[in-house]
Amino acid sequence: MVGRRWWTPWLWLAPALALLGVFLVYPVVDTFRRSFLDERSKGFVGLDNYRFIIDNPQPLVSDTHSALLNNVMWLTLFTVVTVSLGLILAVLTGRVRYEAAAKSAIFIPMAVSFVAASVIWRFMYEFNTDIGTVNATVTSLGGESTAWLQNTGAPHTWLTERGPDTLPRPVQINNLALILVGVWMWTGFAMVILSAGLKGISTEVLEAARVDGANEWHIFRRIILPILSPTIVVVATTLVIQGLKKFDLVWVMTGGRFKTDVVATLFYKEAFRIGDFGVGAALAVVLLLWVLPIMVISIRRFQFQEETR
Amino acid sequence: MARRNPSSSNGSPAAAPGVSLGLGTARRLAARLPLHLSLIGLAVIWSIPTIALLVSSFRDPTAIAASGWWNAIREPFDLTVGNYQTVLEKQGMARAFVNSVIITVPSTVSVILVAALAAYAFAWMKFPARNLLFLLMVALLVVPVQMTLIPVLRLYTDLTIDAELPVLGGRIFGTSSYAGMWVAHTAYGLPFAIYLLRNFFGSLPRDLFESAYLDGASDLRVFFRIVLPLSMPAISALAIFQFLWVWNDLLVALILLGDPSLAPMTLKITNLVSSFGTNYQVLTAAAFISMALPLVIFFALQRYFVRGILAGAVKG
Amino acid sequence: MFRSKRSRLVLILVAITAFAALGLVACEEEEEAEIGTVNVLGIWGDEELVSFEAMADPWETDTGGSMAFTGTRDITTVLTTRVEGGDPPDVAIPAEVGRFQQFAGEGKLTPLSACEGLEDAVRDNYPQGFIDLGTVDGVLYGFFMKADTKGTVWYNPGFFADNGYEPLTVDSTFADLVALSDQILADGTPPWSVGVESGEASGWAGTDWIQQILLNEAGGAVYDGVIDGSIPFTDSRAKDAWEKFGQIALTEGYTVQEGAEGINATNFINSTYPPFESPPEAAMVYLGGFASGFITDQFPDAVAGEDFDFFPFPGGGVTGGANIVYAFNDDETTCSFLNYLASAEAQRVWVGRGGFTSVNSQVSLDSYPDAVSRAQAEQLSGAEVFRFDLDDAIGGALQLAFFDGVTQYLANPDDLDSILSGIEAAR
Repeated sequence: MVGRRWWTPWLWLAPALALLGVFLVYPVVDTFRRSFLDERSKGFVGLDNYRFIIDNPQPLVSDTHSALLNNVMWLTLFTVVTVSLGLILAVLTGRVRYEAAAKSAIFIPMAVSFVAASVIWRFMYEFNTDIGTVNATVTSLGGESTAWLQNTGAPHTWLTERGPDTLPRPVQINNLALILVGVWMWTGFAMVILSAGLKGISTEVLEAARVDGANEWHIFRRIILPILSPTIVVVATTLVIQGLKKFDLVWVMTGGRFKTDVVATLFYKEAFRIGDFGVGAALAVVLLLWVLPIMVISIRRFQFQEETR
Repeated sequence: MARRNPSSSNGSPAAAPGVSLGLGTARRLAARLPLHLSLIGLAVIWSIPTIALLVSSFRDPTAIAASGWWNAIREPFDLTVGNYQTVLEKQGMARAFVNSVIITVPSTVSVILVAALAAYAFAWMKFPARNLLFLLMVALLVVPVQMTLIPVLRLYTDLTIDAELPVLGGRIFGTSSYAGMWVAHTAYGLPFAIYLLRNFFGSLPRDLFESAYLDGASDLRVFFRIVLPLSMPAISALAIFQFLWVWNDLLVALILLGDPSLAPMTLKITNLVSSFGTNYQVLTAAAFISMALPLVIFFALQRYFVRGILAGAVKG
Repeated sequence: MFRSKRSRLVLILVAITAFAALGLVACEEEEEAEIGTVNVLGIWGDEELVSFEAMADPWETDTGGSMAFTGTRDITTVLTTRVEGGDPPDVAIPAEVGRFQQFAGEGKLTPLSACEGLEDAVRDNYPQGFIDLGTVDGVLYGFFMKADTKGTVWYNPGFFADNGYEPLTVDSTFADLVALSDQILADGTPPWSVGVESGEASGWAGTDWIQQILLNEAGGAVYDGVIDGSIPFTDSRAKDAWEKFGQIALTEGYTVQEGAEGINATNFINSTYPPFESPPEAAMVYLGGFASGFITDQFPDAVAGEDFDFFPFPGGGVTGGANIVYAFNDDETTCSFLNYLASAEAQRVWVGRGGFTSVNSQVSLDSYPDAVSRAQAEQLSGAEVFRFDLDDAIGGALQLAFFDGVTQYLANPDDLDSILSGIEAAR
């Protein structure tokens, strides 16, 4: 734009940068510093805390390997399922008259606080078949009940006796059970944002395509998806990051026990239960570093978008 | 092939000329049956846990621990409003509701404002290290809140102004102040807000801006007259999520808002549960009471992503 | 011109606001030193909170002060953050002693001697064991209120009477317990209800079993040795305690939860219900004194002593826990409140409401509302051998490893040796 002064962008950015600097950047720097200090953040210990994460010397209390693997499962499975479901629902609900009602039904889990969600899902996953919905349904259909949140066995064992009892971590029944809760909560989020994106697609374009004889699937693939793809990237990136920093859900349902720990719950346990701020900080730094490649990929897409508009 | 109305505005197909209403409608219905079935089926299954919670909220605490919620919807109907009474009559619950509103509304408004300004700069202004700055800023999305609380609290205790804020109560700034909460929640909400808005702002067509600049419009004018109105879907979505996250926040309130008389509803509600976790059944009722306002907001704003307003607006 | 008028107006407004703010601040500083608000951070909610507020009422009326309570089950996090962040509460009443020792060691706490009359009152009226626990580096920093005995095995007196079972006594042995269990099993009822699920702390109910067995089988000295580390968890006596727990939990048919999966998945609160259902689904449940609250919540018509009662864990040794109270400053308000809290007069308020056992020797047994709570107080004060909860006393990573060890042991009893060395490694 002609006449824009060099300092104008910075003026616009100033409030955001100031707030982020104080509330997020400074603590991050502080955490980074603590990751090289001991438990009480007094003495310098070099890379000892990071070595702790790599060596995993206390698998009983803080199983760092298990936590890392669980996060991998979260950021892949959770994201893929939630984005897909959100996309399908955004498209489908846009086609029916009762759009608002359907959207609300999917959205309500987001409105429920984590505390309430944990209460609901404890009812769902309760081992006692008199109380637990899932087990009651399963047994009434002739299946076997199981302790959904405590069972670390391989998922297929619930259906069949064949095959190994346990698969390599993190493929465990209780992880899947937790991810299901995550999907239940976040699909509404994906759906709402993708819907907002859908609304930006000019109806004339869709009309024209239909007149030309394109079927719905074609329209979805060739028109909707490409236009929606930046929004999908935003949703997917946000969800991947959610998968990385997953804390509330896991903490409230299992406390990270029974091998469901993720890096965020482990960080919390180390910092606030065990009192080791050094290892806790190191775990937090792992999270921060882990997110960088994800951000690079998503920024690349933005650049692509910029070049083509 | 008969011409159909575009489905995004309403769901009813127009009758094809020349085909009797009965056969045509039936065929169309049959074609859309899988759509309806799968959608309604999914919505029902999705709602089961919520329905379970709703039913449980009307059950006696001893019944909740003794049998499954589905028992309550058949004979004998053992329903009670006791849980709701306990929550609503809890001393200070009304004040806690007001506190929640006082904390949440300004936090939501300010995050939208601050983020929109920054997102516009990221999307449509050129400046050095723009992409790097954006990348780093959004990377902050992953920072766990608990990690930031100790430094932030230290800052707040240093900045505490021990004078009372008139009308609203609490201190002017620092710990146990509403302003402290607004600033903190704004900051925590910024990474996602900027990320979301930048995407939407960036997807607006270039010619829109070009013609505006050619007409001599300043950045501010373009921002308020063009960008904001066109981005209402994104802004509404952001508003809802930010409202929800601040409304349901517990930890930040516990740490930064030491004075119990300023406590939001989330805090008051957790106090209904004993240190062992007993009396958790009131949480079922509390969940719905607490959900009421966010849902109202959702319904108020949903026209921005349920009904399109963009059709035709983007024409040059 | 328009601009300068506007900016002048703004300037005037700013000046007025600034002066007003200054005026407010100045007014604050002129306040006289009187009893104000004491900020208490604790874990209580629901009935407990109501009772604590009732306990603070007489103090508020007498002194004109007010007690502001912030309650959270996640007190360790909030306390740690607030202390590190420079905004500690005036008084903290958490659930465990680990942080207390750390804060005291770092000089963040006020010794009881800083409050006039407080230290003497505590030394005069509280048992030596609790005084020792509240002492760090020779200085007394905290006192204990709201204790709970963990030597209680709950049973249904009606069920026992109907079937001719005899509740055990202090002189019974663990073998007697097993024999009783076999007897009940033979008659067709699972003798035990065991549940260890508890979110992040799952397994603690099992640690209660193990430490109680350890105390009674191996004695107080060994118990103390495990706490201070001179006796590792891998020691044969410690291992024996685990195996005895395993005998109860894992013997076929012993538990209504039907073994490890059920025990790990059953919440400790729900585990107290089966013996008191009609008809009873199990015969006994071992859990601390606070279990009586769970039982009366679920069975509001149950009468203490008739429908539910406890017999002492065989052996005579009693483990238990209590909430420690400590302060971060020695303001007049804080001291006044602490003095009041430590007094028998205050504690009698909550004792009378039920669900509170006091260790203040001035609180007589008649203050207790029913036979069962009286018996619990008696057990605590009259125990031959008393020890504070083992994992609470150690705290930190070891406590968490202990909990995790229990759930893992239940699922994989053959791995006991590696589990025990894993726990010891966390020390």
